[in-house]
Amino acid sequence: MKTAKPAESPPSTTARAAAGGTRAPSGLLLLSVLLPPRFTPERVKRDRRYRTLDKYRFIAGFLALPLAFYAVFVISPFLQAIYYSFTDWDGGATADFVGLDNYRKLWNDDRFWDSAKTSVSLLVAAPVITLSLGIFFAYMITAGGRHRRGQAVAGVVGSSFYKVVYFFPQVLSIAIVAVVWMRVFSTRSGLLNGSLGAVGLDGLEKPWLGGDYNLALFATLTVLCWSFVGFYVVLFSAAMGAIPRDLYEAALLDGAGRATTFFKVTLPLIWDTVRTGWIYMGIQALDAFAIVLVMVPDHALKVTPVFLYQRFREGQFGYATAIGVVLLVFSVVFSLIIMRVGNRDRIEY
Amino acid sequence: MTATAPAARKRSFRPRTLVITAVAWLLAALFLAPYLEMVLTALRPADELRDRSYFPDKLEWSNLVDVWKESSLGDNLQVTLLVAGGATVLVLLVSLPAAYYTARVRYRGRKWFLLLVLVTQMFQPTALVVGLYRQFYQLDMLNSVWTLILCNAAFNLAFAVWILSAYISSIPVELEEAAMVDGTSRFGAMIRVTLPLALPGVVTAVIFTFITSWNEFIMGLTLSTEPDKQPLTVGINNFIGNYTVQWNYLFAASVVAILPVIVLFAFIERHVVSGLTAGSVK
Repeated sequence: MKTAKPAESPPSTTARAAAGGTRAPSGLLLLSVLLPPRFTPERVKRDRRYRTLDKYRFIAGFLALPLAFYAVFVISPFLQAIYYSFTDWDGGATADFVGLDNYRKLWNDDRFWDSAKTSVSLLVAAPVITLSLGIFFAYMITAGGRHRRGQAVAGVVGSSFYKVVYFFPQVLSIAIVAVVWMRVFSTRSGLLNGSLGAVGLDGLEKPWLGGDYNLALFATLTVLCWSFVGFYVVLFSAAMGAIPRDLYEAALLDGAGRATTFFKVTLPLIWDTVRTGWIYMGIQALDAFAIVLVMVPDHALKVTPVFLYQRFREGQFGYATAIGVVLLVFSVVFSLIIMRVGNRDRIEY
Repeated sequence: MTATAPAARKRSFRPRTLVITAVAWLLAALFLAPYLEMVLTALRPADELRDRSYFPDKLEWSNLVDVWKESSLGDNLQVTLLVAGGATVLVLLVSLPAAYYTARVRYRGRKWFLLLVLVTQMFQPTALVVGLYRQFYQLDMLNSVWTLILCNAAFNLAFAVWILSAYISSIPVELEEAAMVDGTSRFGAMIRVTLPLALPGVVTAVIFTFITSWNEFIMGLTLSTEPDKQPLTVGINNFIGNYTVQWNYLFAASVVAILPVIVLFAFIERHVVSGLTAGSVK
């Protein structure tokens, strides 16, 4: 069977070439491919081989550069990271292959497990809080307003102002967000403790970043949520805006209230967007590198990327890459799980 | 329509609207407070830094000037400008043809290309940082502006291709075909017909790339170790000492670092929303 295949194919290609046009001399063909298309003679243009080559010329010119970029700056560091995680590279000239030693060390390293515990807490809590708030705000903005004449749904007054206010942290550098909140949470002169004292809630004043694990976790979650919620407000209000109004009108006619409308109409229809947002937020929470590194004191709490960075600074490059590989595998597994868990029948409208 | 009007009128009572508006304003204030704190601290005299008052007794404008003399901030700003500008130009040059091709041609592996773009978007730079460090260590390119330009461009490419191809797909291909019937080449049709129509998308992609590269932190932190070769976001952390923080200088520098972002964001605020929608919804 297999040997019969190539024997069959040449006649069929020539047949198609004949159907597609004439065959031009090979030299002319080659020249036409190298020159700009306006110099291509008519009879070469009709050649099927020229059309195929023309297509690949397009691919080469348009896609080769981005692919090369990716290969060098994203794929290659990734492959190098995998390779060096099996070595004892410490920044010197040599890197000896040590098999699974780094991974074994990681498995037995209590500091790693402590940091992983924190990262997983963030991974679970941050998306739930941020996405719920994002959906709530988005719903308020797109459908929370007073019902105007002839409109089933209306946004609150000034909705675009709120969108900008919520979205703005997203365009700030996460390093700057971290220093600003470091000041807000500062025990003695911070905005948070100051405001709590001013309204008579002195009892709630806390040394937020003083070294207590739970307080530091709370602070990290607050900052993560503050900086990302705006992105989801914009994302979800766009998704909600795409829902046809007559669906809301139909629900209203059937006597559905605001809550019913939300849970039976809005949420199912934006579910795909929510799932994508969940994955993205989970990855952000798993990282949380700059916030924790800059804002949280080292002895209070550590997340896995910060643990990685400290090993990197110590020159334990092989070990650090092993942590990086584990982190990557973990975020891919997380994404796959969310894709599976959240997989419902897609609703077309 | 006529059926919904009475139902709508019955539901519209004021107190609820008032509560919603009040909550919305309160939340907006909570969201804005940290910025105010940043600006006020930047202008706070050094001896008032430990006070609890919201507003300093007097505003010390000289903080904004002193901070330049006290640190390598000028060098950091230069690095950031070069990196953000360079990365933006590079991203545009590379992503525009790729986006055009992806939007217009159903080539074999198109799905794979888009998937690759999405998957690499998921790679956290933190996990890749040691690999990047090793790569530029071998190339002897650590502490170089070029390194940061190339890395920032590579990491922003995905988003730019994604947004641009969504934008270009929304432009009817018939317009190009009409131009080609009139005698322009395929390339000419792309430059003279599609590109001007895709301009809002291009502007969005450009400003987004610029802002992201301007704000980038972790690659600047790891690939540049000399203080005067680091970008602004890394440089400001030098005001955080082991025991004391020079809050006023820290925030004066932060204000400098976010001003361009505010201006640019004001430009594309409208496009951001439409750009995100084009790229992500459906």
